[in-house]
Amino acid sequence: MAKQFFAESELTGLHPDANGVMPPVAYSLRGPVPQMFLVTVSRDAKHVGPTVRTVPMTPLSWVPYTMAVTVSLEDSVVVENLRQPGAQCVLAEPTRHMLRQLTICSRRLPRGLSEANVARFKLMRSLYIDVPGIADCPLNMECTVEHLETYHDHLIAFVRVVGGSIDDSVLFWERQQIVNLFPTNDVDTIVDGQGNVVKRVAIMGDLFLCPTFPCAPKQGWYGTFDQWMKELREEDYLSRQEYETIIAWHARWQEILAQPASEERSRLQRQLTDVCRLIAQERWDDVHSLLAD
Amino acid sequence: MGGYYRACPIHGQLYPKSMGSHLAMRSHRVIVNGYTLLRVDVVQHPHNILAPDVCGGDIGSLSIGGRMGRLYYSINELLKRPVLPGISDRTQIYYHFRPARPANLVVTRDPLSGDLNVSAGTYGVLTEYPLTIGLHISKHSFDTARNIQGVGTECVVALPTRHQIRETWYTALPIPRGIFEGDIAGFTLLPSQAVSVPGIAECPVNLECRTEMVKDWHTHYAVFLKVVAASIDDELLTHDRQDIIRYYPTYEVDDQLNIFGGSIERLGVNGDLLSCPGFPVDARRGAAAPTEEWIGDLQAAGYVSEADATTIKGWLHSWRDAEARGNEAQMNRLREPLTRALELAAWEDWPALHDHVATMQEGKA
Repeated sequence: MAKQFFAESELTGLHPDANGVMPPVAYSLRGPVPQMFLVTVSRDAKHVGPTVRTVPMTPLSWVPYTMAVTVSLEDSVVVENLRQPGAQCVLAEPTRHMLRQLTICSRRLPRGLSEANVARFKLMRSLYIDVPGIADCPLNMECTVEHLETYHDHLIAFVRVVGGSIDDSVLFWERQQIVNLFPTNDVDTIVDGQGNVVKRVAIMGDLFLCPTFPCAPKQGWYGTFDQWMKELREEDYLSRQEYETIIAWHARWQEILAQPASEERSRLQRQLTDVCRLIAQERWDDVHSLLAD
Repeated sequence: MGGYYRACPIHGQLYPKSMGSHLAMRSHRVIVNGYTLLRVDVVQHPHNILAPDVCGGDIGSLSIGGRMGRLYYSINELLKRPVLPGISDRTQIYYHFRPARPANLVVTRDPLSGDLNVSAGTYGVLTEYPLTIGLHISKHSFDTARNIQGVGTECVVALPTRHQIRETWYTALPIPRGIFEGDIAGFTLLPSQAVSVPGIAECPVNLECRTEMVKDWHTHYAVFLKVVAASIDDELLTHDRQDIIRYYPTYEVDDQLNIFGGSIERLGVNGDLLSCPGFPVDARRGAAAPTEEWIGDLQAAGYVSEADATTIKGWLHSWRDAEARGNEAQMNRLREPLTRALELAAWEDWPALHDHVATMQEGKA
């Protein structure tokens, strides 16, 4: 496959124009990213509705459940709201039916006007924080701001989910149906045939199952190598002798791992690579032949 | 019905103070797919106003959904992973609250031996220009966590396709340190231009990255990477965006149960490409244009009259002036007419917008 390479200076050339539209290849390089409605409020501004902004999300950790949202430093209203001591926010997931609201909440209205009203969002109380959620969104996450990083020309807010709510009408939907509804992924911004700037989003489509045992530990994620081999032995994919050979290789490998110049290390590296590859590909006859040698 | 599915909303003792008497709640038990749930309907408050103590102030025209039933979960309930053996959660709440995340294969080099490593993970885009991406590396992903531990560390983030599901999974296997998962997956190394770590030739996009920040973050490391060079398959340069997003990247969607009670990773790709409405819902130049320019575009295209556009722009000018001066009384006068005008424009209700502006002008007169 022929490749087109971009040096750093060429990447610099893929800058957005005055309307925020980047060359198509820039979007191909970054891929579509999950987006949320970020709801914040200013504690100082009485009688001001919440600010709702469309932001990209980056996952951080599961326990506790944290994620990062990115806001341009030029978005002074949201930046100030996030920088308030003890700041809170709601992350509400947009659906495929909220395209107009995505457009509206991408616009920064003059300070003090609420995008929630312009977008005709129905707001609702949150249970664990003071910032309201968006009742129209099937899923709202109530968050506290744990950490802020100024990074290039953006503010990265590390937020911690402290509770959430879901529309009960989707509660028992199949996962495929759920991911076909929300959230949306920010794909690109283009100029359409009439010369208008248009944002495009996508929604999840096809789903695929990864392989499972025997070409992975029964547990899946976080299973260990030795446990996986033991399971293969217990299920008769490996004979006792084959199992013991692999475990011995592994033990010896760990002993000489820090000896990169060792010939034995190179040999063991090849052997372990081969046996792992053949097991992962479920080529059992080849596994037996390799271990018999 | 066990506690896991218990709805914990709005029932009297949970909301004793803040709900006050402003909202009417009705709770009743409903049966959904054989599960008994506590359903709470929030009944429209006659004035559409929440109690002032909710957000530090009167939050304007905040209204409550008429018949929306919502189930609230504490964080402890959200963190209960349903794939644990013996727990079958038909609601899949754990996954609903975790949006599908774009998947990547990150190639790193072991600082001890120089051995290569490739691991599956997920990423987010932090900034588009310059292109920077965020990785969250589990402390259980020992190899990657060890190999990306300092500012300046180099790596390649490769984006896998829908045809590399099996190969992606291979890179998530618990292979011993020093054994290159790329060899197990049958990947070909792609020499990089700007970093010492190679990419993966079979992946359509390879992002050559330098680490700019590593933060120890609970169970993970948050890693900020700057893309210093990149490559993309030539043929993708001419492909339709719809085809591209159905091809790559893949996303980590959820786990399914295998017959042993363990998990099977499930990946996905994007499906439908949807266009958000542009002009006249927004300015012709999009969100980058000032709101005044949007109103000007509407006038130029004949959606609003010159008189109406002048009035709305006048409100905007007065609003900005009042906001800059801290003139709250003026802002309070302008908030409703201005918000309503922008709302009607955003929802393309032109006759109502004209009537609204006329009514406001008559009132003023």
